Formats: sequence, C-alpha cells, structure tokens
Amino acid sequence: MENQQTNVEDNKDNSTPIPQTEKKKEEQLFFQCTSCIFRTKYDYFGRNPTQLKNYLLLEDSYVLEDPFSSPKEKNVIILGAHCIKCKKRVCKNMNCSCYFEGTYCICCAKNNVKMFPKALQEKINRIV
Amino acid sequence: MDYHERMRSRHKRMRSRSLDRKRKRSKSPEQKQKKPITAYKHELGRFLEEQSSINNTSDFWRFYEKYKSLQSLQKSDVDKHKLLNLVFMEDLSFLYDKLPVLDRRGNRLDISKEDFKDLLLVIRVYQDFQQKSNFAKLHKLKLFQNDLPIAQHKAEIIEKLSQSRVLLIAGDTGCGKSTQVPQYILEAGYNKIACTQPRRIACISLAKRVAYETLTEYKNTVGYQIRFEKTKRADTNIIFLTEGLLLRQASEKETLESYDVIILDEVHERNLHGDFLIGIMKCLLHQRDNFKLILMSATINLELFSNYFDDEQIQVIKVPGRLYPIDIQYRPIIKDPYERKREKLDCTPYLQILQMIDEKYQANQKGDMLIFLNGFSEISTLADAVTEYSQIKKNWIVLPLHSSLSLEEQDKVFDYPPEGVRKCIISTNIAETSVTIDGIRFVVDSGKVNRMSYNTNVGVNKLSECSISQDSAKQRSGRAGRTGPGTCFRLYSEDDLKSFEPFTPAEIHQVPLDSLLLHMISLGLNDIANFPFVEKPATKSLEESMEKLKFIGALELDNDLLALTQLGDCLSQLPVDLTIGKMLIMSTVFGNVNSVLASASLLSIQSPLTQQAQRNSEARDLRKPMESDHGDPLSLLNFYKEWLSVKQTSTVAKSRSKRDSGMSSKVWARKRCLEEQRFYEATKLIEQFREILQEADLLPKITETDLSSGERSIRLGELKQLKSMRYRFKNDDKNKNRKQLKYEMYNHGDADQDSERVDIRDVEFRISNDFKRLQRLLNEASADSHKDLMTLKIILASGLYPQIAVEDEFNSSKTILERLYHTKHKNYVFLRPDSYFATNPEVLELHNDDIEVPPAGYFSRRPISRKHQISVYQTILETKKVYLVNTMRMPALQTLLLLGKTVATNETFTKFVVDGFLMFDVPYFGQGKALLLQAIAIRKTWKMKLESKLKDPTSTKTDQREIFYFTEDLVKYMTTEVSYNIKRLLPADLKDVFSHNCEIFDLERISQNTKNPFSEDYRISKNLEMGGINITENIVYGCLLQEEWAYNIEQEVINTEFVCKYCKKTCLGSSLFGNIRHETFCSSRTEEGTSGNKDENEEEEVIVKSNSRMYHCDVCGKNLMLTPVDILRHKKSCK
Repeated sequence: MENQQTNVEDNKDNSTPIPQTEKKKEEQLFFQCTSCIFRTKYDYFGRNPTQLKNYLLLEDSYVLEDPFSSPKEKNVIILGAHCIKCKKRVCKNMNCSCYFEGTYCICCAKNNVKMFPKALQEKINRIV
Repeated sequence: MDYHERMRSRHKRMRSRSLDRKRKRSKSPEQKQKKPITAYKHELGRFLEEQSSINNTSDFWRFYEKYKSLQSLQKSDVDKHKLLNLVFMEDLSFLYDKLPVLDRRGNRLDISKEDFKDLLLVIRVYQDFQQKSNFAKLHKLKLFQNDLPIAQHKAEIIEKLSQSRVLLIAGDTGCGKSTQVPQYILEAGYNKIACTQPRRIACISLAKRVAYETLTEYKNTVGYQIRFEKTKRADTNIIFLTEGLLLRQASEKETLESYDVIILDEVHERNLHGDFLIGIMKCLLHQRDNFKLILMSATINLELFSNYFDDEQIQVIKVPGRLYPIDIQYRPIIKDPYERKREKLDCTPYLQILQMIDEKYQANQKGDMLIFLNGFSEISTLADAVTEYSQIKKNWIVLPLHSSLSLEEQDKVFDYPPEGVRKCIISTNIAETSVTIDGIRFVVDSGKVNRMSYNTNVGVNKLSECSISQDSAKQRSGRAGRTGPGTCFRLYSEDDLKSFEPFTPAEIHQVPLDSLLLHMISLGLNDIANFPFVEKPATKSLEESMEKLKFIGALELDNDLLALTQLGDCLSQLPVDLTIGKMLIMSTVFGNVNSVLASASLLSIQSPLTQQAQRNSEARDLRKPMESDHGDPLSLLNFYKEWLSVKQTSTVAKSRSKRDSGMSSKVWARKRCLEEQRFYEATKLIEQFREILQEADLLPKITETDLSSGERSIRLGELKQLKSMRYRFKNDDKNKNRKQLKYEMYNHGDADQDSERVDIRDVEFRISNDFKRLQRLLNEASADSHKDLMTLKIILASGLYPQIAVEDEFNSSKTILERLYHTKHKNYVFLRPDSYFATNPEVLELHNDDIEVPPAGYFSRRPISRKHQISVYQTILETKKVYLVNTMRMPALQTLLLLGKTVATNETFTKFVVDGFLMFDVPYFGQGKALLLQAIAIRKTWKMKLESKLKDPTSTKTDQREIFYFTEDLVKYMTTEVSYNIKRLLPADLKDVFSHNCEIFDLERISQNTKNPFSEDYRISKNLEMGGINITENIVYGCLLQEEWAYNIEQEVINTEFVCKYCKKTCLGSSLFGNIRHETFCSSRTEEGTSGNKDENEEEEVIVKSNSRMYHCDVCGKNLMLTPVDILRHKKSCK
C-alpha cells in the first residue's frame, strides 16, 4: 500500500526526522503516518498552535486547522506525533498509536505493554 | 508581542483583585446544601466559550452528563490526566477567577474549587473526545479515498501526465475518477484546472465534494462555474464548469489560456457539446504548448478516442470499476409468425420471470428488480400487469420511472420496501446512466429503446423504437451488480446481441446542427469541412443547417466567405434553440419582452400536461376556460398565468390547514392534470432568459423596485418564516433520507398524505419571489388586450417561421381524428390530441358564411375568403403517427407577406407565391397591392429597428411612441381585410409557377439609376432564378405565370386611365409598376409632405371593397372596380 505514495517530501525510513517547529510559508507540509496509509497536509508542528487559544499540547504534535468547520471557530485537528520510544511518526488512529503521558506507536506499546495501566493494556492487546 | 505582555500584566492585576473577592465568597459554602455544577449551566456559558473554546455549550453539557453517569458506573484505575495530551494554558486559580461572581438571580455563585477542578478535567476530556472524533472523520475520508479503484493509479496518472500532453482515463462508474483525478493533478503542482461536466448539477455537487475531500470547504481552492452562477475566485485552483460554458470561453482567449490542465469528463456520452469541445481542444493543442488535456470516459469505445488523438500520442489509463459477478441469462421471446402485430406490449415473459423469482428466492432474501422498457405506454401496460400479478401476495411494489414523472415520484425508487416485499422498477433508459439505484439484484432487459432522431430534409423529430447498442446492454446488465452478485435476464438471444450496433450513435448524428454551426462560425471556424470532428456529421445535415441559418438571416455569404449577420452574431450568444433565440431578440425590438419571455420559456420546457390530461374529463373541463382559441402556446401562457394567480392568493404551504384560505397551487395543478414542476421550471427559465438578454446587452438591467417600509417588514417576516421552513425541511430530509414504501400507497393514491407535508418547491419559490415580483411575473404573463396578443403572436411566429402548416382541403368532410395538415416538406401530418385545435378544428376552418362569391371572371374550386388561416408550429414529432406540436393560428396571407423569405408576385399584385410553398390568388384588384405595400413598409421599419437595436443594444432611447405606432400599424396590418384563396404547391407544381422571364426589366426601362418605388435604398435587379425583378430583399415582382383572369386585370390596368392623386395628371397605357413609380416620386407629392403615405393606403382600402367587382361601363367604356352601390351611382352619373 505504502509504495504507491510517491511524494518526495515523505520519508519512508523509520527514523523520521523531527521537523522544525517553525512553519515555513508557501511550502506544503505533509504528514505521513508510518504505520498506516494516512497522509495529509499539516499546518503546524509543535506544542502551541496559534488557533488553540486556551490550551497547550503536552508534546510536539502535527496539527491541522480543522477543515470541517469554519475558520472562525478556530478548531484544530491533531494528526499525530512522534513515538516517544522510537521517534517514528504515527497518527492518532487507535490502531496506530496510544497516548499515556506521551504518544507510543503501536509497536512500542506492545513491546512495553506492562508499563500501562490495566484498562489500557487490554485495549493495546486487542489491537492486532 | 507587546500586546501579549500587556495582557499578561493586566491579568495579574485582575487576578489579585478578584482573589480578595473570592476569599470572601468562599467562606460560607459549607453551610448551605451544595448545588450540582449543572445548575450553573447558564452562568458557566461564558466561561466555556471564552476560556475553554467550546462553541457548542449545550453539546458539552450533554457530554458532561453522559460522562458523569458513565463514571459512576465504572471506576477506572487510570489517571485520566495521563491520557490527555492537552492542558489549559493558564493555571487553576487563574481560571477560577474567571468565573462570574453572581448567578443570574443575584446570589453568590457556589462552586467549590474541587468541583471546578473536576469540571476542568471533564472539559479536557471533552476536548480530547472532539479531537478524536474529528480525527476519525479525517482518517475515514483518507481511507475512503485510498480505497477507490482509481487510487491504485494515482502515481501512473501523475507520471503519464508529466510525459504526455493528452491523457485518457477510462473507468466505470464508481471508480472515483471524477472526484479524485482533479485532486491528484492539483497535488502534482498544476494550479489552474478546468474540469467540464455535461450537467450543471454535477458541477455543483462535484465542486462541493472535491472541496470537502481536499479539506478546503472553507477556502476558494475548488469552485464551480455555471451560467449565472460561479464560486470562482482569483485563487481558485480547480474549477468545475459545464461543457457549454467552456465552449463559450473558447472565444475568450485569456480565460482559456489561464488553464494549464483541461479535463473533459464523461466524453463517452458523445453529446454535441462534448464532441465539439474535443475537436476544439485538438486544435488548441496545436496552437498552444503550455496546457495538458485529460479525457475521462467510461470504458467504452476507447479506440475512437485513442485513434483520434493518435498524432498527439495520447496515453491511456484503464481503471476497472467495482462490480460483483453478474449471471447473464438469454431468454429470447419467440414470436408467433402468424400472430397479428400486437399494439400492446406482451407482458407474459416479464411475469414469468417474476414468478420464477418468487419460486426460486425466499422472500427474506433481499434484492429488487429493474426492468428496462422503451416507452411510457409499455411501462404503464406492464405496471398494470405486475400490480395485478402481485395483488394476492402483495410482494411486489411497482414503481414506474421515466423522465415525464415529477421529481418526487422519481425519488420514490430510492425508498425501501417493507420486509418481504421487492421493488419492481420499470424504467426507460433513464436508469441506464442518469439514475443510479442501489439494491438491484435482477435486471430484465427488453433490448429496446425509444430513440429520438432528427430527419434533416423533412425537419421531423422521430421517436422510434430501436434495438439498443451492445454497449447499452452491458451498461444495463451492470446495474444488477452494484451491491452484490446479480442476474440479468435479456429478452433476446446472444445472436441478437451480436447484431446490435456496438455503440449508441453520437448526438451529432441525431440532432439538427444549426446551433453548432452558428457557434463554429462565431468562433471563426469557417472551414467546416476540415474541422476535426470526432465523428464527421453527414454532409447533408451540415448543408441543411447552413441553409436554415441563411434562411432565418443569421448567415450570409460575404465575398464567398460565410459570415454571421448581426442577428446571427447575437443568436450565437444565446445558448438557446434558434427559434427561441429569435423570438427573444425580436421581443426586445418591440419592447414586448415580458410575455414573450414567459411564452418562450414555456415552449422550452416539457409540456405541463400530464399523461392523463386527455383521459381525465374532469380535468379537461377545468382546463377549458383557460384554453386559448389562438393556439397552444397561448393556452400554455394562460395555464401559467392562472397558476401564478393561484400562488398569489394562496399562502405558504403550512398555514393553509384552515380550509378556507384557498387551494394550494399544487392541488390546483393536480386537479387540472398539470405538472406543477414545469411551472417552477418555467419561472426559473424566465429569469434565465432575462439574464441572457441582459448579458447580451439587449435588455437594460432592471433595478428591483423598492418595497415600501411596511411591505419590507412584512416581507422580512415572511422570509424569516420561509427560511425556517426550508431549514426544517432540509433537516427532516437528512434524518429520514429514505422512506419506507407502503404497498397500499400504490392502490389508493397518496394525494391527501402529501398535501400535509411542506412543499419545499413552494417555499423556495416564495423565497425567491416576493409579492412584487410575483405581481410582475403575473403581469408579464398576460397578453390580454387584442394588441398585446397580436404582437405576441407575431413575435412567436417570427421565431417559428417557416414552420407553418395548412389544412388539407378536404378536412371539413372528415372526422376530428382524420383531419390532416401539410407542411412544406412533410405532408399528411396530424395535430397532437392535446392540442386545442385537435378538439376544436372548426377554429382553423372556414365557415360557409366566410366564403365569398368570387369576382366576375374569376373561377376556382378553392374558396375565396378573408378568414384563411395557417398554423404555426414548434416541432413535428413522429411517434406512431406524425404530429404537429404546439400549434398557433395566424391569418394566412398577412403572416406570409410579413415573414416569408421570398414573396413572388405578378405585375398587378393579384397573385403571390411565398417560399415556394403556398400560392395565393387575390382576385380583387387593389387589395393585394394595398396589403403588400403595408407589408413592405412594416418590414422596412422592423428591419431598421432590429438593426439599430443590434448595432447599439445599450441605447435605451428607443422611442416608446415610435414603437407604439409601429405596433399599431402592425396590428392594423394583421387585421386588414383581404379576400383570397390558398393553394398548396407541390414540388411538381413549382415548374409551372414562375415565368423565368425578366423582360419586365427592359420593358420598364429599368437601369442602374432607376429609383425603386418600393424601397428607395434597394437597387432593383433581375431575378434570374424565377424571372421578374427583385424589388426588395424579399419580394420578386412580375415573376409569376398568370391565368387568364389575372392577365385580364393586367390589361385592364393598362387600358384604364390613371389619375395621379397628387398632381392630378392622367395618363393611359402605363403599367401598374409605372403608376406606382409615378405616384411615389410625384413631384407634387413631396410638396405635400410625406405624411400622406399612410392615408394613401387607407384610401386605397376604401376604394377597393371586398364586394367590388369588375364593371365595364358601356357609356364611358371604362373598366372599373366598384361595389354594387357604386356601380349604380356610376351608372347614374355617367350619362
């Protein structure tokens, strides 16, 4: 599935470099999950996106201005982040990552399943 | 930055101040009973909005309650804080200070810090939940896109496009090409992408969908442009537009050059515009090297396109569609060779299949049936049979589907049947491509289709039953495999299939090419023979259209080069049928725009009369008072006008429940067997026509008349109510998109049921038309006075000419159904049964009282009368019989002298032959002359007015008075009394009509410098084709062979002493031509002034009365045209 994506910007190797937090103008930035085919442009990488007025993110995340609601509402969608163990770029989909004081890619979560509370462990184990 | 710092410091100050307040406040809470936090929904609203960015607070509170109740059910060991990846920017106490001090009753707000902390956590959980569901939506979209068959070819498409200039992407319905390809190309870096669609609706819905998919719903990246409507901005990258619009842009160089990729979608449909666009694009590829072309089609007839673009090295990408396996069974109908030809469809094979399905498949196994038949009558026959078949078991719901059904009825095919019941959709080929229904498991294909074809040399639209093409057969069977494996029963053999033509013929072979040619020439593509057509149309049909264009005066040969006239240029700008276009243009000349707009739009839509209109006698009686004895176009106008006035008196749908407030327009229309939808369409079309004319600068833009303040406030209230009704309707619609069908509905009718519902079209109509506009529409639809009516009829006729028919001479002795009519190219035509004249043929015919005694010396079997009429028609349609559609009656000679392209006459104006079709004898000398002179004068003014309008369309200074007098003259002319008879000329007759002799040219000593008494600025010339001389553009003088009576009149004129009424000179032996010439240029006349012109005609009329006859006075030896009374008077005086 993945090999059909040809865009130059995407790196397919596992060690995705962490981008600069400053967004460069004009250039279209793309987020590609390393665990599924999810790929989309993003607007911001970091913890304090301008649209998010009253909140801060607890980790550097890929953020997209919410395309489904009017820009006046200033909503954002958090697309994903880097796994705190292996630094791979993963999306927020349940089958690709889980969050517990930081984002884990599903591989690292499975490898370190004991670290998580019981309820979360069950969830992780259910994912194939 | 500065700003932020300032804000911070202000926050600090405020915090310290309010902390004091808070301390005071939190002293007492323990004593009172603690209020739950949900009691403060109202007070917390502002906090949620401003400090927590929650826009929909009620949604939050719903979440809050659900969350709390879930929490009380199951305790979790997980620290919620660790699961959330976002925190408030500010700390707890800062946020706590943001709470209001008092509640809405003025009491202290009683929320403990503990509770508040908990609330903040729930807010964060809520935000996290929102995030997740938004992400899920996005993720789902991306997965969906990736799942489409076309996604596999994304890389290939981008790569091939970079290598080649022309690309063909062939994929079946559902492969996602229309939505995805533009996105791929945008992503590949192209910035101005134009994508054409055959239908407007598709442009709008695709633009919306692609904007959603490219995540730019709130940006301008994707837009659409259809006539009168666009969402295109400077920063729009993808634009969906109709084929017609791109064609129009072909003449605007800059627009066309701004596109770097042009995508033509659905090219396999092979419609006229699509084919033409492909040709133009091919030319463009050679002209410009900075754009790329993509064709998208279904996977049929790929060779045609790939061969066509062979030189351009077209690249082809094939995308398989998604279809489940389909079992095809051939069940040819074996015909009994001895059986007489059936009139009705044989339903047995269809019922057998139904029976087989009932036996073989259990009722709980879902799956509906789709039957393809050719026409309406077949569909209703089978529908009745199937209903009867399932009467006992009640396990089939029959749903007919064809284009003359209302949209609501069409939509029923999407509803779902009750458990254990199957839908049986009986459809025309509309369900082949245009309407896609899911859930079909069985397809029955009759192999037949009703196809409209246009026969060029006779001008007949023929609707005939044909075999479908192999490609349609494939398409039809494919309908069974959209949602699961299915079966297709073909009621023909495999050999039959092989004998079918491989592809449905392209539209270019089926329709008149008038508009296409006009458009081509307006684009400067004069070399029609060498234009790269995808498939060349028949030379004959091109020639016919060329002739037609020349005939109506849109084209002329300018130094052997085809060129548009001003009229042609204007017509090419109007995207309507030529006849309609001509009417519209003419209406602007007369200033009689309004009723013509309404009539033209009513003629452009399907007839509002439903299929039952003739059978239902009650409805027929109700319609009767509205019918016009002038003909169908005027009846249509009356229906529309009446409908509008019903609309005006009735109120908005819902508030009508009180019985007394009048009938809804919907009920009104249904009772009269009129399809209300058509009137809504007409209303829209009127506005479109108006805009078209305004766009072409032919009509000044009207500024909406302002409402008075009182009216405005009423209107505002009304609008508010209407909009909320529309909103509710749309929401309701979303919630229950598909309704369940009920078996009973189809036995008892559902008339009462749906009158309860909000009629959304009524609401929409009322939103776009306030009462002033409604009144205006109503006024416009009226042609009440005789003058208005006559003008309207003339304008309509000027558009429709030469589409005229005359009645058969033996009609009066025939029954109503047998009465026949003839057009120039098609003899033996009937009137449509729903035409006014079909039921009231006497209106068109002469009564005995109308027939006059011919003058002495004139003999003819054909009756002389002043009341001869012709019918002007819109189209000829051939189904089982050949019918005239939309006929209107006009006075015969007057109309033909005014509109005829070539009016040939003899030297005394007692005989006329118009356009080689009709011959008129006007045996009373003088009447013909008077009428023709009037006609010449009117034609001249008309032409002048038209030219000045077209030359300088913006000048609104056209003198109202002038127009007023002009129409006065016109109406007077049309009602001029003149006695004549009519002969229809057959091609063989034409040999003995013209003299082919131009000796009159020399006899009258005409030279280069001879002044023309009929039209001063037209130079008289010989007519070498027919004989005689051309005295105006349309009139040929002295070119007819004449019978003895006409010759006698000519001789008498020569032998009668001519007295000029201006200079009182008399002369003998001069011809009528000479007399007219003398009179027109008489030196004494010019002194008197030109005002005498009008009186002259009147005098002429007075002199020659219809009962005048030739009288030879023995005393003075003169031949005189006198009435019996005058003869007596003459006898007395002449002694």
